[in-house]
Amino acid sequence: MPITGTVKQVEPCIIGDPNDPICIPLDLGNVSWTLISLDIENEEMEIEVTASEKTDYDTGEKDVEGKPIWACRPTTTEEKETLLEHARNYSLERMSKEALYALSKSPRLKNPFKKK
Amino acid sequence: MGEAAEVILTGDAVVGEVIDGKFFYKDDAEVKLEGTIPTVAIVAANDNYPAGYHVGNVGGLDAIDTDLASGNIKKDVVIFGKTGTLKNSLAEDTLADASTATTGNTSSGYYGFVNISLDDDITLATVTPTFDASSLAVAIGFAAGLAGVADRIKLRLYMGGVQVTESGYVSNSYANNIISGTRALSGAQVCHLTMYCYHALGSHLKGYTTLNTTVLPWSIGVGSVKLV
Repeated sequence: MPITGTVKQVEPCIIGDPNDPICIPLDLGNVSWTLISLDIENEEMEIEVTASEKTDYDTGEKDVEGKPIWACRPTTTEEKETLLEHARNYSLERMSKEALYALSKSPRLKNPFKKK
Repeated sequence: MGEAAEVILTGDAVVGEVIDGKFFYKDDAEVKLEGTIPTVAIVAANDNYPAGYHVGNVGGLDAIDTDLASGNIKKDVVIFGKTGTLKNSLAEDTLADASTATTGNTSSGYYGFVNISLDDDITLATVTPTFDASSLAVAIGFAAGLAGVADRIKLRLYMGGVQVTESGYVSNSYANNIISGTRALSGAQVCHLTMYCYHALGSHLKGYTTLNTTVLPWSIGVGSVKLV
């Protein structure tokens, strides 16, 4: 995934600016993800994505104020596959980095330590 | 008196094959040549292996640098015939945790309440531990409650200014939302749990409590281990 934010330090470990943290600028949908590796030279983050175990749905009923009543149920296997496929569509495997940055409307990673 | 026998010199050495400071005659008895090979040595201060004449050391490389010892080499790695036996062990590095309090009130249905707008990334709990240079840290973020509207808010975990985890959408049904992440960190680093809004209409996060009761629905815990 492409990344945005500001790099404050690279040695002995990569540190981002807490006010402009290094992060993925795209909404991957109803999935969770965890960081696997971070490559600030290539402005890429490798993540592991997991589909949400729960899904909210509109019951079709209204409360006393007329607002829709939502409920929560387990995500089905088919829904999980759809969620993961949606997240995968926002990856460098499917789209170019430039296209993903354009889609996110976020600036590229600001890295003053980048090798020329 | 007989004539002196003619001596024919047939040496084939060249100056680059003789040690500097040593002299020889190659093929002309009237031309004395001096070698140019420098005398050099391997030293402990660096890993240079210079070209030249080496006197050598019968004690071996470990006599030149006593740090070249099995106990200093990673287990099962062989360097110049020495098999390493060194095994790193882990020790506790640091522990830190923090929670954010909220108080229930009637206007929010007894819940502690935080509003959020599109692209806001609001910190719910923060700690700033100091990590050893060789530490690996684990952070756990905890948010007990629910989102005001489904599919709008996600929880994020940052470690040292890098987002390491993001949850799925926080449900609008009560849940104990927990996320975790790991990173190698060094020095004093901010770790925080946030909520991020992806929806143009915004939303809010409710921490479950009861009327006029203060609870700690949003928390972060960080622990790390280090190599010793």
